[in-house]
Amino acid sequence: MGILSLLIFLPLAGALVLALGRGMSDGLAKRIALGLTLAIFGISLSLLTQLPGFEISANYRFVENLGWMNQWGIRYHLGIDGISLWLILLSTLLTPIALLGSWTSIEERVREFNIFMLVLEAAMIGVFCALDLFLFYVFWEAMLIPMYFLIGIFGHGRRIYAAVKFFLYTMAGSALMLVAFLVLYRESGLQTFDLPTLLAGTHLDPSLQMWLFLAFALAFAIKVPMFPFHTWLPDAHGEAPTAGSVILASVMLKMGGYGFLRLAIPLFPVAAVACAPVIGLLAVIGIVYGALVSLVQPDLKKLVAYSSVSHLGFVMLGIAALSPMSVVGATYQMLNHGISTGALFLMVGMLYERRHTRLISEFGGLKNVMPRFAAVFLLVCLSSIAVPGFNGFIGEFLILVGSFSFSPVLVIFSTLGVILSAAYILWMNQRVMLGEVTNPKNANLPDLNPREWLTLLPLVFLSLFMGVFSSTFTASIEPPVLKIIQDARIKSFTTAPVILPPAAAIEPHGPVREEPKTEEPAPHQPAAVEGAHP
Amino acid sequence: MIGVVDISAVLPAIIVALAAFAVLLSGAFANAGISACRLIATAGLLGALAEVLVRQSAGNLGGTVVGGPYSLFLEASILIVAIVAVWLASARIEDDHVNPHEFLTLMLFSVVGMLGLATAAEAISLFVALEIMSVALYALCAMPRTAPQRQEAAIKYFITGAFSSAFLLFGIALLYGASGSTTFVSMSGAVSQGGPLALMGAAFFLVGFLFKVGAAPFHMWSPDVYQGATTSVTAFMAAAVKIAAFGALGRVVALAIGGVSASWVPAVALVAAFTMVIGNLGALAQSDLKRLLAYSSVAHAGYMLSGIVGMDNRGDGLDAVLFYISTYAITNLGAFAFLIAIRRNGSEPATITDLRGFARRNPSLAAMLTLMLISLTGIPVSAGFVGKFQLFKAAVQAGYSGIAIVGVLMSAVSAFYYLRLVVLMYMEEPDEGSVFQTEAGAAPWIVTVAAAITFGLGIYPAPLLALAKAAAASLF
Repeated sequence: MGILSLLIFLPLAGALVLALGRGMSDGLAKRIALGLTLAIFGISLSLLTQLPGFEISANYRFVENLGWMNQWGIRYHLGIDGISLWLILLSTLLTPIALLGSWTSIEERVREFNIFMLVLEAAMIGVFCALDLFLFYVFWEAMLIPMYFLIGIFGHGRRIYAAVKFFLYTMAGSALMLVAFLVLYRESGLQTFDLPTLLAGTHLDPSLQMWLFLAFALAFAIKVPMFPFHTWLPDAHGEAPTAGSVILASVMLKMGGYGFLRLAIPLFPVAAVACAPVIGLLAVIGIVYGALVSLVQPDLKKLVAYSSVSHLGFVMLGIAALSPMSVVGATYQMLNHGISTGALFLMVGMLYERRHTRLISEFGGLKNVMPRFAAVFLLVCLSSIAVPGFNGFIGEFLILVGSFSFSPVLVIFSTLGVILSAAYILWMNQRVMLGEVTNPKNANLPDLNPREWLTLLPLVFLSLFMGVFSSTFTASIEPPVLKIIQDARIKSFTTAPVILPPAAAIEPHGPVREEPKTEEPAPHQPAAVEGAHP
Repeated sequence: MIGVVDISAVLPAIIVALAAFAVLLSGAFANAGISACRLIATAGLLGALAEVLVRQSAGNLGGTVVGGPYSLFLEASILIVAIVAVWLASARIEDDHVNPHEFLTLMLFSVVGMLGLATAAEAISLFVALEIMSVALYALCAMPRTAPQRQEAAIKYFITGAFSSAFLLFGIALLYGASGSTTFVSMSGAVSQGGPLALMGAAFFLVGFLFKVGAAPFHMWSPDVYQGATTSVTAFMAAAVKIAAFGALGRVVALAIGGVSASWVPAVALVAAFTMVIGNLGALAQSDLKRLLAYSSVAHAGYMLSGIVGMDNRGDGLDAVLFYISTYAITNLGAFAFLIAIRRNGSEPATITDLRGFARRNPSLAAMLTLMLISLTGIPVSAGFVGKFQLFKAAVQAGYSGIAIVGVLMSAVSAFYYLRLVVLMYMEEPDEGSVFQTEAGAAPWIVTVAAAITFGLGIYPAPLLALAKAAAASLF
């Protein structure tokens, strides 16, 4: 079994153990799940041993290509490049953190909670590894069910409404994508759902591309979520338990951007380039709209939720601009958002655990009672605002600079979002942390305990580390991004199959160095999977 | 043909019929109890299944019936479903105040009819088989005869059933008029030349079948009948009748009227889309569990029709229907077995709110029902997803992407009502003083096995898909 399969099936095995352990105590269930997810994180770190390879080329690594339903063109095909590498690490890092973060807040049905978290982790990793459309869809949909239960069972207030809304929105969105898969299968004439094969051999006419792209884009835009498809997000976040919010914001929202980069743009480059202005416009509307709504939120969690709409608008702007710099920035910003927003949701959850309210007006002057909490909170806030020195700055900077040639107007408007985000985050920080303690209920709140330190420290450390040593990450994000952009540019100028110069000739950074250790896909695969297109 | 007549293709039906007589006589003479009757019925069905599986010849009894892979697939599915249904029914027979001999005899006779439908290669045999199946089912619905709602269900079923039989017979007559033959293969020559007689015949024929499979707008009977009949009878009808009817429809379409597909496929496509919409929207409004499952079965008939629409001349599309119908039967049987397996305050759960808080009381059964609901919705990882994927793929391949779009959107709608059960079971607290019991006996086991198969075929469907493909391809 390859390492990627191991990462997918270990959580499932853990879930199975928990499901069968009928009389298991809550404490044991929690420990098993946490231990397992930590082990999985450790295993996923071993993916980094190939980091030099990821930095050299966009080839898929750790490839596993096994038969599944071969007669129907469906294979169990896994593999990752520099983009999926970091998203997988983000998933494996945040799952144990989310579990630890809800160590005490989940008191009932603990075993079920951990089962759902483990299944969710498996499905998320699966989405980032899948190189077969059918397999991708299986993981994509499988993600919904555990999250639906997490919100519906363990959430607050209108949890059932939020859970059903989340489920129906996402499922309706991806339903059309399924039909698009089938149409793609028919029109490509390749009798396969294998992504690399389809990428190499599909030549669709522009109008059909447009329809298919729209079907894909709808699914991904709902997931991101892009304005105007974002309305499920505040409900889902508002009612979800802390762990659910963390996973939802940090990892699941990234599936949207990832879907654009992995599927929608490479498969339908003509349509993607044609739609870019609309996507860019919606992204900027999302940036400004999300920021304005955040400004007036009385509820901490909804404030963070709407800030996600705004921040992911930057990601989508970067993707729409389709310049190397902006797309690298967008990918990097997905990671940054995962870390800083994950930390914000964790800290809001800690406040909720202490006070059972999330209304900003209930707080005030917490800095006096819980100084350490306030200090960490400030760091997390700064990271979220993208202050230089923190990770968010690099991402937003790359996106804005990279998108400028795409549309100066959009960039100018989106900088409004940068300013507004400072306003709503700092104003929130001020109202919650600074001043005198006005509400007597806040007078004796305990400061961070060791468990909470443990959940926050890795995230705070990473947000600083990624702000300084960004090239550690971007170096391996760059090759796949360059390949996506080149392919999209080339294909969108020539819609008919034509003979192109070898990829090396159009590589702006000089010829791609061939690297011996690359795992090639199984020999029966048509070639053309990797960097060089014929 | 010289010498012995090859009866191997009808042998399973003969074995089941003999078992039916044995059950009836055991009641008349030995006054055997339910367990003895069940044993005889199971033995008969297993014997027939064994014959089906070892059968080598495709003996055709003068062209009226055929063996072969297509028949084999259907017969085996029907017999397996029948065995499960016998065990489900006998779990409840005493509470239902039904005479076990009569009940099981009728059930076995309807299986004889279904086997006939699965093997018929000729219109008269098809019609006779259909009537054997239907008449036994009308009587089954009416049992016990003291309960008024059963009578109502039986009468409704009988009248609409007779109506649809008349359509079918008229269609057969017209096709005979056009072709001068009753065998499907020889019909096809005349039919493919078109002409008003053949086209009218094909149309009536199809309408008769659409009645039987419960496609809109011919579906009105199914919610009332599903609700009115005993749950075990409903389970049997929902699973086995669909297999037999879709199996026969597939054969007729492939052999007899495929030549004029251009003239009826658009109409069936419309019916498929309409059926999906009506079934799913209808189910949204239901609060009665059995009516909900009835509308859901209407919706699933729509999905399966999209496979018929997507049929090409190599059997693609039909294989999707075969795969879907067999897995749907298993999943649906599991869902009905769930209703039989549990008791709330001493009686079978009737409305969806009766399931409120069930996951608190019995998490494992609740999880299994959830899995089956996921499969019915068509979400991975489940057999239902693979089946729908294949059906819609066939429709798209045939150029009917619109059907696939309606299908996936309606699947999203169906998520709403299937998930409502999950919400009630998992996310709401049990009502004050509601007590759930789990029946001893076969029903919980059937739920477990059905859930396991539903999940297993969701992960590794290739073997069953390959069987279905071989079966469908053998018709061409």
